[in-house]
Amino acid sequence: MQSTQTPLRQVVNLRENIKTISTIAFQVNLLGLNAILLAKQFGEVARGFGVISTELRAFSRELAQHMEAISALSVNLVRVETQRLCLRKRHALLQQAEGRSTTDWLPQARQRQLGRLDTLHGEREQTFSAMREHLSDAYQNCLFGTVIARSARIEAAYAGAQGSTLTDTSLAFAQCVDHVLASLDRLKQATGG
Amino acid sequence: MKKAITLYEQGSHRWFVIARDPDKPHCLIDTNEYVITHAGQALLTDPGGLEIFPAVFSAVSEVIDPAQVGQIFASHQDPDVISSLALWLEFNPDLRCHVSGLWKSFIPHFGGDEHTLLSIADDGADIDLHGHPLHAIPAHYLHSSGNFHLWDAKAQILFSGDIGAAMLPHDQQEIFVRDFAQHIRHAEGFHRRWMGSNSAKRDWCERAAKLPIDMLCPQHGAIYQGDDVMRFINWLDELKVGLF
Repeated sequence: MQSTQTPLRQVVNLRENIKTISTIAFQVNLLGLNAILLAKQFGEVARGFGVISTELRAFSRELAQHMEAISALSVNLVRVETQRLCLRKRHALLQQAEGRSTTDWLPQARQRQLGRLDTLHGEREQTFSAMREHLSDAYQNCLFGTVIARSARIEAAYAGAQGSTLTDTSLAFAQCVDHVLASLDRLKQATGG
Repeated sequence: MKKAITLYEQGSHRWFVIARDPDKPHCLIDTNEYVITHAGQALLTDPGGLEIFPAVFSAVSEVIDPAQVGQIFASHQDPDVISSLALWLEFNPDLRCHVSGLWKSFIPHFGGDEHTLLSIADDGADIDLHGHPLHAIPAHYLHSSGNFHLWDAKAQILFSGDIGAAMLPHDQQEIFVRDFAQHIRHAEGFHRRWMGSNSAKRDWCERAAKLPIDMLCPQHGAIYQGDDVMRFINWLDELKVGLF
């Protein structure tokens, strides 16, 4: 994560990438559905393309599930970052008050805030770690998606006169997968992976 | 987590309600926040308390980049309305908050300074959202002594703060009023106690009845739409509130 951004801004960027991937996963699902219908329409020559399109829809659903899980974790991250923000503010206020008072209570209260900050730091790291696990699975899923998109293009070549329509569809698949991979890379960086 | 639900959409002009948090502790009153967007900029009404900031922030970021929120409209000074201001300012230090001039020096106890807080004069003001005018309408003594509602003539939506609020049971969490007679029972006690002035209430009812309101959106409870808006205004007009 870039240190110049505030923690909440970092979480927002992360969520923007999640939204991008979820939108693409939805598009792939629609493309897949359309491709299955096309393959049915074109009959025997496009049967292989139809099978591959079914696989692409399964890929998009799995990807969407990973994004939902990461999105839920990012909500927890907003909570953790907000609490850290509040604790830091309280800590700074206690520190100010400490300079004007001799009571023991203020340093003790400040220590408690530091302890809570440590706990929250641990929660933050755990959340990132859980996100990285989902991202790793999503990445593998995507590599599989790349292979399927390539296979779709090969199958399109066997589809004779209907080939150009199917080639266009397979290129759209490949583009979607490339965009997802780029967004996954950004997410990986943002989660410290 | 709270959900963002679209209430109105025409081009870039949109209203979302941020409502219903199943994870919220019961000790906190449930609140509705509204996000109004126009041409890439957004205004948030009564952003809520400190404790619910994570839920509101997450729900807002589901539908827009929260950096678009450049303005906040605070109907009045209560903690469930505006005590999260300091956190919104952490995210966007250039944020501006519109509030009754009466509360301009009180709200900085929650956060912000003289640059953040923009006073609304007693007789109301227009608030510019990237070229689209929103109207801060006086609702003083309903319940706060410095109180405003926000009228959007294009969307025909009135954000009515505590007017129209209902204390819904935990198992009744609908976003819109479905059965007015059933619903209004949950609003009656609230209005009788919190609204201090019958003459202020009558004046508000007369002004509200002249507006072509499609949705009346309170800070608590369900949203009134269609015929239920006028039903509510008539009901409130008849209700004896506060001291008399």
